[in-house]
Amino acid sequence: MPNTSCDEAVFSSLFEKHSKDLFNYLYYKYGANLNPDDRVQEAFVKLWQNCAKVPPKKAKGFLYKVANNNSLNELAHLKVVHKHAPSRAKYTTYEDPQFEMETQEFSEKLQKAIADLSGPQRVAFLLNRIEGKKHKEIAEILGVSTKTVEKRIYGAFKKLKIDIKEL
Amino acid sequence: MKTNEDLLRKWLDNELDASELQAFNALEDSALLEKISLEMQSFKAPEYDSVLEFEKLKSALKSPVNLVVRPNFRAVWSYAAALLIGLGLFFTVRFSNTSQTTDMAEIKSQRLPDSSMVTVNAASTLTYNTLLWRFDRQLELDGEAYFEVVKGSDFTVNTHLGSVTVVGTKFKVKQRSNYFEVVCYEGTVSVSISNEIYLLNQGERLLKADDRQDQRSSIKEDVPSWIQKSSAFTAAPIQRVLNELERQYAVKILTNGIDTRSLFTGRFTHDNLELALKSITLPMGYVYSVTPNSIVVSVE
Repeated sequence: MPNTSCDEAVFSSLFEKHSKDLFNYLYYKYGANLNPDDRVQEAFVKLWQNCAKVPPKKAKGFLYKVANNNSLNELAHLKVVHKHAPSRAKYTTYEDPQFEMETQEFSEKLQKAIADLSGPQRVAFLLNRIEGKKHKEIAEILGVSTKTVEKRIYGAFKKLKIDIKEL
Repeated sequence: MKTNEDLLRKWLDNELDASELQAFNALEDSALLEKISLEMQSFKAPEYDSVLEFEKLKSALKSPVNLVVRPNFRAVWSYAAALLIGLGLFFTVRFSNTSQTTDMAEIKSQRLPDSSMVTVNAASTLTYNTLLWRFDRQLELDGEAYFEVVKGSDFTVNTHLGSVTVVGTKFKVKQRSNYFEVVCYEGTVSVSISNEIYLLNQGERLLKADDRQDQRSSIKEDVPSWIQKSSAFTAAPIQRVLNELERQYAVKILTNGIDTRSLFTGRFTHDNLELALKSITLPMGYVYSVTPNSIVVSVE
């Protein structure tokens, strides 16, 4: 069956096209504890099982929907706080313990504040600041308008500002 | 004229020219934004190796991806392979029945493959097929369990005294000897007993005990009491209360001279056997004595 998602060549190119973005999206939205790599696998397995019903054009929407549902169910039962473990490369040669401590404190405040953002705000903000994706690119990934992405990023920043100053 | 929002948006997309950059740096929030951005680099997602992950996916899916029906001299091999895979699947499905059995004094929680939660009370057995689960949510219960079901296809619990079918809700099923009880805590539940079908809504309870008529009543709790470490009863024959006590504490209880059909209203804790025994015996005017192998409950 050429040109449907059931065709091996089509399916593997869908994987190449969407898997990494989906992985990053899930990681930023739900954190590492929810095993984003497993969620990606599950979503593609489901796509394969339904390949006759989901044309390649609709594959992306399908994958994100399945992955989001599975993650939300897992979240509801695990009730974990999102952990985006910072891997701190030493980008400074300072050995001033005071400086180290302040940076560490800021990092922890920031981590908590990021975990407190809403899922949509967090994904948009992190995709922009960490992955360097522009508004337009994020809008394409999430399937929303550029204006919506703007609102989510500003909303995230405003909330972070308040949380960081308070903590 | 550039508003602050325009500057911010351009900065976020890395599209500021020199003069705009100056204007941005003069903004009150720019320092904090820079600081946050810098710190956030260490929160980057781990590398995703899509080639490796695709290999994992292929082995998870096993055969169909590799089965191609091409020039006819290969056709025979394809059919043979399909047959072998079919048989393999058949046996795999058959052998993927899972049973969860609780002992006395044990309450176990488990997540089902569709993320529904089930908590099984003491001395009960729950059985289902892990492979077929996603297509047909059926399980067998002998004993008592509390379910929180994720929305999806019909979810059915079969006991040998009756069946319960729901589509995403919270409910409890209790089947002991000559005792079948279903309580709906949220949503709607359909209960089938012999040829009768009942629909229960939130806060409703159905009981078929011994050979009496099926009874409907309403309840006030949000969850069964044993989920919160105590067992509660309303006008229950004392024998049932003592049976539950036996299951929760793994003890043997003998009675001497008491009418086991006397009705008991009250509760006992799961954490302290002495306290539990007192909660039951004092209101009923009984006494108890502890022997090496059992506990004897008798009239005062």
